[in-house]
Amino acid sequence: MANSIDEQISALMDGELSEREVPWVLERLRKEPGLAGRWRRYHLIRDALHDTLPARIHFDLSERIHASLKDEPAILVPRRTIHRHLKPLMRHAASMAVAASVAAIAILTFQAMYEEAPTTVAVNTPASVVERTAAPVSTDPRLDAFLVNHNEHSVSTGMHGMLPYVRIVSQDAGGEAIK
Amino acid sequence: MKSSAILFAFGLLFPLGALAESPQEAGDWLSRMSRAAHTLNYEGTFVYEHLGTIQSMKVFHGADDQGERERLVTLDGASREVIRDNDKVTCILPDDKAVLVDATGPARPFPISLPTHLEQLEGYYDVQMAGSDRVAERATRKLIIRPRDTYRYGQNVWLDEESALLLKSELVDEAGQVIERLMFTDLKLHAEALPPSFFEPQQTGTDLTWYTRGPEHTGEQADSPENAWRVEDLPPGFRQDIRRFHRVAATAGPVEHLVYTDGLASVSVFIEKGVDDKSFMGVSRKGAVNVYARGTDGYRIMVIGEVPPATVRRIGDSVTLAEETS
Repeated sequence: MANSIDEQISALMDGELSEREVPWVLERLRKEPGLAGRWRRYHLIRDALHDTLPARIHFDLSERIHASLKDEPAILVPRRTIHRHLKPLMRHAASMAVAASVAAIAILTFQAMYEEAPTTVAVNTPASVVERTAAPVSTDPRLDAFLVNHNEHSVSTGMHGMLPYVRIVSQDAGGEAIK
Repeated sequence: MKSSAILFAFGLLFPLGALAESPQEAGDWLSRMSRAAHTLNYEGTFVYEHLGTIQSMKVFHGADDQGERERLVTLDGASREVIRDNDKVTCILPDDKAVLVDATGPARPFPISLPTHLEQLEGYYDVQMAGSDRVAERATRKLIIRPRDTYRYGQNVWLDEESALLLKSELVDEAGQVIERLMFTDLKLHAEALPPSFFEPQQTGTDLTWYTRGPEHTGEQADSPENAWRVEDLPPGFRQDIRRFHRVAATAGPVEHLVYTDGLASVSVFIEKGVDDKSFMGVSRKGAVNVYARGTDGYRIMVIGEVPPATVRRIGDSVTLAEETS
């Protein structure tokens, strides 16, 4: 029996949480937005380290659902479906938490859905730093590890020292801000 | 000394001499910048802006005969740190109660052989001095680095007049838009090495879980013969810098890692065997970094670089596995 919420989230990820505890943990994930981010990052860390990364998982799916709730039109077809059903329930403050639990369930049960969704967007249009774009950047968690390896051998690191690592620590600054 | 004296005299003779000497001077500044970043002892606070988000961070850097130590820490949002002890990079994510240690191996080319890179750089970028400015209460020199084609991004950099450290930088895309900006608000230079405590993680909670990756895999190259993978159609100006085999935390097997550079921008090509390539394809983006992945013959090719999407795509599309090793 897991004794802390962290362990329970971890057990939930592994499918080892007892049936009695599942509703309780889902309830906490719904009520505590901070846990949603932890849920996402647990997946990133654990899957990366265990070499068991699924083909596609959106760790900031909840953020993207959140964004889609705010901004019409929704980009992903599955998301629009979720949107229609959930929009009446959403209030500004609660939307993140609900989206997070939707994400939790979606990740567990509806992975196939995302095979149809454009998870990466070809970004040929220039982006301005002042532009708050809802356009999803790549959320493939494997990228972090590759990015470290890229940085370590790039001329940019040679010229600027550690500054390229800024991109790694700041990566989900957007997600944190929403919380 | 001699050449600068000649340039100085030249400048006296011709009012426009300052323009003529600019490329040489700019090259010197870039060399100094690179040296400064790795050899000075400093601490500074900066803001980082990209995709509409802004975050403040602090960086500490120390260098002595033991090598380099650095610590980067976020000041707002989730508390996160990256600590480098020479080649070992440690990412501390206290909000996840996790620590990732990534020993990227001995292959890091330091110091970067700048004269070569600069010469290469100047073929594909126009580097100009652009006057003086003030950043973080310090006098700076501004340099504008414009690409000569659309295969690379431009940069505006502001270098500390005294130390040549980078105090502000902007990455400019092919449409002339700033896509990433970094600016120091405070910089302290130290004559003496910073005490080791500066490089200790702030978060020392005992509940952190440490994940350490294994050492480099060097004995598993047999199924990918040396030089078998090639980029057939490199964009102009890029040439191969590094080739290595190693493990990436996110992969099951060893990964072949090729690095190409035009002297300023670097592009990494990662080749992995047996990856479900259908699931991770096309161009995507992470801040100013573009990523392109595709599958071929049971391998996944992934290209990463601070270059335009067209560049990662062109490189990625032309990665081929030669039938026979030459």
